[in-house]
Amino acid sequence: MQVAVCVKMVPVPGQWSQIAFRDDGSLQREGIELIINPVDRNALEEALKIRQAQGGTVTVFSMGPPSCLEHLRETLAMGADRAFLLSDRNFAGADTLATSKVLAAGIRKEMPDYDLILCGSASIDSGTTQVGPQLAVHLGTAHLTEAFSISAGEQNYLQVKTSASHGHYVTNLKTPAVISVTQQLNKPRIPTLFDIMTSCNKEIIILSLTELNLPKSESGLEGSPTKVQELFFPPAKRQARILEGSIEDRVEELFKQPGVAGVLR
Amino acid sequence: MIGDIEEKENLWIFVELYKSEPKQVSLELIAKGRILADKFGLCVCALLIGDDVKNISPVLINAGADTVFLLEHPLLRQYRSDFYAPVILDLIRKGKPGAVFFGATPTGRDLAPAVAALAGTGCTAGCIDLELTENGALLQTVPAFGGRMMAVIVTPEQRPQIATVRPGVFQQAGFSERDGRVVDILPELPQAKFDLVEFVEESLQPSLLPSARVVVAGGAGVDSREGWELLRELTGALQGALGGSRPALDNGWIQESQMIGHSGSTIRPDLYIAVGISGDVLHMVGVQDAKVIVAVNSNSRAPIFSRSDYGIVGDYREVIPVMIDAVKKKQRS
Ligand SMILES: Cc1cc2nc3c(=O)[nH]c(=O)nc-3n(C[C@H](O)[C@H](O)[C@H](O)COP(=O)(O)OP(=O)(O)OC[C@H]3O[C@@H](n4cnc5c(N)ncnc54)[C@H](O)[C@@H]3O)c2cc1C
Ligand SMILES: Nc1ncnc2c1ncn2[C@@H]1O[C@H](COP(=O)(O)O)[C@@H](O)[C@H]1O
Repeated sequence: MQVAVCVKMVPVPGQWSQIAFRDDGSLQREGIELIINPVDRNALEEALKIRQAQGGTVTVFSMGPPSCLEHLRETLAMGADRAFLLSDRNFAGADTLATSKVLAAGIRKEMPDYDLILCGSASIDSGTTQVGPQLAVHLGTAHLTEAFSISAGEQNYLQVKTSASHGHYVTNLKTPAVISVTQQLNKPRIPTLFDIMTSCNKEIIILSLTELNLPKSESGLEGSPTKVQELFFPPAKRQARILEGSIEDRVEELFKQPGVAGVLR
Repeated sequence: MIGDIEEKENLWIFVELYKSEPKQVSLELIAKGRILADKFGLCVCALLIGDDVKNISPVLINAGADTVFLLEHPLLRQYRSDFYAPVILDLIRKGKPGAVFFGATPTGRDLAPAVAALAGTGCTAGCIDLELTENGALLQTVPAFGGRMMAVIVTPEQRPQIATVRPGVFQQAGFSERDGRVVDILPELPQAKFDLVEFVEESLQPSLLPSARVVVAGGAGVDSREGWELLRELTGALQGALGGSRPALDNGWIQESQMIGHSGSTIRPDLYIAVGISGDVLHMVGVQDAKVIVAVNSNSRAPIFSRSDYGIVGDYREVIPVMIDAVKKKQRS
């Protein structure tokens, strides 16, 4: 099976508190380290398992700035055959629609014979969960989200279990398809030193807008129907009153407060 | 045009069903739609899709809808993206709504982005607030970077403006016997893209959190069975519900449905008591609408204290038993 995996690089959560505003109101996030979006490793792991069982190839696609390049190395070390970084100044400011269009254009160009595209269910920084379904729409294929089990059978038939609010769905489908996966699906492998060394001669290819057969008006900020009108830090609206005295006194004082006393009755 | 509904930038709400009943979040969205629509003389239309679901229409009208678009077909009995998305697209092309709202549930998050991509419009995920301006622009507030920041997202040019909204952020309304009407629409189904074999029901304990007036929650600081027994006792005395933070879930003290925060439940109780929780924004975003927040934490510098109304600095093992006694004493008197 020819499997494509979409991998996003996201800022390390531990450093999110360093994200600040510039004077012009834009976000200052330089210097913040990137990591592979955690659940995207599960998507990659599943692709590698399918290749192990059935043969085929695993190709990683990522849209992001050039600084993503070194992290794409890690996907090759995990076992991906090749990786494409879709990178262009014009891609900046993309919402999920523009992101999914660029990814679709990359896959159409480099892997028109794909069978399966795996995405993570959500990215931790924006967490929209939208890129998978939208990618499927652009490519005209089926999509499933929240997959926690994928069994690949004969002749490109898949049985997929996806979780929902009160249970789960069991779906059979024939590829092609786009499936967004959860962290329950598997346990991603950790590359060994040997893997890292042997991955050095695998390729990472950078594709820019001109190579993608996509109008500029459909990528980046220009191709994004949604715009950020305002960014702000949520205001503090709590009294932040620390109660004093013995524990008994403090608890008694607490239970006298109007919002608390009313509830006790 | 659908039926004789005037083409205004109306507000549409996708109604999610479970066992022939609308989900709470759909009713919350209809109520919010009502408030927004009344400001500008718009209609609220509910999209009721399923098999033999007509009898649900009055519930939607009483929740605040003016019109119910009813699309019934045996193949629409279960939600599936390959049928629902094109059917809704078709409806959007005919009815030209100003905005369409979906609950940010697994179904809504699967469906809304696909509908938006088909319609070539924007979709804002996981909103925690919606406002409408005079010129019909929808201001969609979403947490970014796990709630550390808030962003207001707009879709300036394309219509409809599509949003998924988290359960629990708006309040359901109960109108009695409102007038409204039901427009029957014959859905045209496209070819199936997959074979939905079955839906396997998992009988999870329904979570008591969303409706509880008092919620007691434990975090990583409550790290023993005895500790959680204390919290359970306090919760019982207060007739509340028990919840927790992410580490509480990871450590197996609570179930998934009890986790509060960015990736868990959003709740709005009258009283929230956070015990051994540091107050990370990714947690606090789930309780920002609580009326009163009380924090019990042994570290006086824990961020939770600046994000609470009342703080007790101390070891929960000493504080909680005193609270339990005090509650019981109050109840006896
Ligand atoms: C993408 C993403 C999504 C997330 N979503 C969520 C979410 O939905 N919900 C959520 O909760 N978290 C979420 N998190 C995790 C979140 O960032 C924090 O790590 C988490 O909320 C911290 O939980 P805590 O306060 O219980 O633990 P800690 O931060 O470890 O705090 C424990 C607290 O207990 C106190 N303590 C210790 N011993 C005692 C004692 N004996 N008595 C009293 N106090 C004591 C300590 O002083 C400390 O303040 C998410 C993280 C990411 C990256
Ligand atoms: N810039 C990107 N490059 C590659 N894949 C992406 C990108 N953005 C999102 N994805 C994929 O889409 C999934 C869901 O992302 P999101 O819609 O941002 O929550 C991620 O887990 C990735 O698999």
